Amino acid sequence: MSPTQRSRPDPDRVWPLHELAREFSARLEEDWPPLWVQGEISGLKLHAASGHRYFTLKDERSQFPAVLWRSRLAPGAPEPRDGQRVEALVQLVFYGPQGRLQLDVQRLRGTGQGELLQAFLELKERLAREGLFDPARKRPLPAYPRHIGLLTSESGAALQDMLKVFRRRWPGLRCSLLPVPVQGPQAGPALARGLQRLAAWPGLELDLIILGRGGGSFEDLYCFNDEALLRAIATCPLPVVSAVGHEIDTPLSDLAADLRAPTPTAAAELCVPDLIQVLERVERDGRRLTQSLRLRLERENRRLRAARTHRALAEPLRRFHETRQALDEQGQSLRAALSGRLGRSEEGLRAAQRRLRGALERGQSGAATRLQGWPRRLATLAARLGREAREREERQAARLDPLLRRRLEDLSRRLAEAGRGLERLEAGRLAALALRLGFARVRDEDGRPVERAGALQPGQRIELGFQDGRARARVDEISKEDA
Amino acid sequence: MSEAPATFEEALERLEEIVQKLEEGEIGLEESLAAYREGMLLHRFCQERLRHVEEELLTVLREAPAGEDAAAPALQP
Repeated sequence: MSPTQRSRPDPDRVWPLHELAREFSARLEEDWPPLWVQGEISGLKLHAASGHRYFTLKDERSQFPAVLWRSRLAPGAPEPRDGQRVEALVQLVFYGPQGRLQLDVQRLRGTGQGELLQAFLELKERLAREGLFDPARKRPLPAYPRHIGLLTSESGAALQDMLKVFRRRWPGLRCSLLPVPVQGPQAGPALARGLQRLAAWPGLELDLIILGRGGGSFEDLYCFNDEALLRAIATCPLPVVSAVGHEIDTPLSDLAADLRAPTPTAAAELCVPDLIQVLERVERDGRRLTQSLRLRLERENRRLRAARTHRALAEPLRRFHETRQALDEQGQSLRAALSGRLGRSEEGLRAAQRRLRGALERGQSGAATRLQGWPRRLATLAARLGREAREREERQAARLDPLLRRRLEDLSRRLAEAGRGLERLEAGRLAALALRLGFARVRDEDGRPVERAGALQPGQRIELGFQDGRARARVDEISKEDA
Repeated sequence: MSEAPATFEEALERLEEIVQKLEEGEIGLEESLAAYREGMLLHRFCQERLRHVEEELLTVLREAPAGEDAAAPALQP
């Protein structure tokens, strides 16, 4: 609907109320575009769930209900307060459900602050577009600073607040203050120049810079919105912490800095660790260091004990058994081969006897007479052959045996030596380590090593052996622990 | 043994690396002993750093008079 088409309402038409409300609202917004009004805030209510603010805007003679939607409250702008005189850019609207005229507040500023706030918002938007407030730009602060640069007023409470925190939490910290004005028209450029000077000051080797001041009005803190300062913060070679005012104040320096702190005290606490906690951490690390080495030595000792029964003996014995078995098998097959050949010789002899006996029985008497002595001679021969074969086998076996025995003896001797060597090596090394770590050798009166508290009697004399000598001592008291 | 730590932060980080390595027990015995020795040195270094408190907390810097930027800045306690 365009304004030109709007005409006087038809006097004969009967209007449903909601249509009238809609029509009225449309005409109102058409005839009254947003405009600035001036008045005082009263009856301010913050609706907790929505974040919207409801209040009455009034002057000496008139009042309007007003609403400030949360989305319209500019970040960084001062929070509206009861009794505050303000200028507001408003849209007049008709609120149908309650049948009343109200002000939809689009922008709010303190009386006379309009231009300043406007400039603030514009600068903020421009620098944000430029990426100056980009979280990716932010640098981490050193965890254990040694030297912090301070950019604030020499006489302000902010300085004393910060020094108090440093003294309490992180004594030994060096601070270098470059005094600057933190209020008034010259403060912004002075801060910008001061920041550059402080960061480049010869011979300081600062870890970071804190700039700030205590709380104040929007105008008081305005120097922390100075564009030159914001650019100096963004280009500063050192991390910069912005600590301005109280919790609710958010000047642009907070957005440009690497870290924003709600107050100078909070900034100091964020910038230094707590000495007590750090000392405790270092002490704990030291205890863990010693403890872990002690556990390591105990573990090595257990491994040594295990090695004596396992590695040094069990495995070589297995090799010994394998060798033994292979030799047995060889001996067996040798015996089998010898007895096979002997059997074949005896069989041949028996066949010859049978043939001779046959010839005799067939009555070849002459021959028989000549051959009469043969059976006995053949039997003797067979016995000799058998004996020789057996002797040959025994000779071979005898040649084999010393070889086998020597190899076995050699093996077991080397095993025993290796075992003793290993034991000496590990025990010596562990003993030396233990002595260096403050353990001592304990022996009784007869020079026997004492391994358990239970082996001692109160009053008994003992001798303590150290790296560099011995000490004699007497047992006072014995308290046993369950292993 | 690595060279002396430059800062407290480096020393503490290295110390905690060593503690972790020793606790995991993956390194040889000789190496463990060397690591332990280095760890003790770092531990002592950290303790000394923390206990060494300088007298002066605050130095106020004074700038050279305006217009004499070339002059060396004066450092006053």
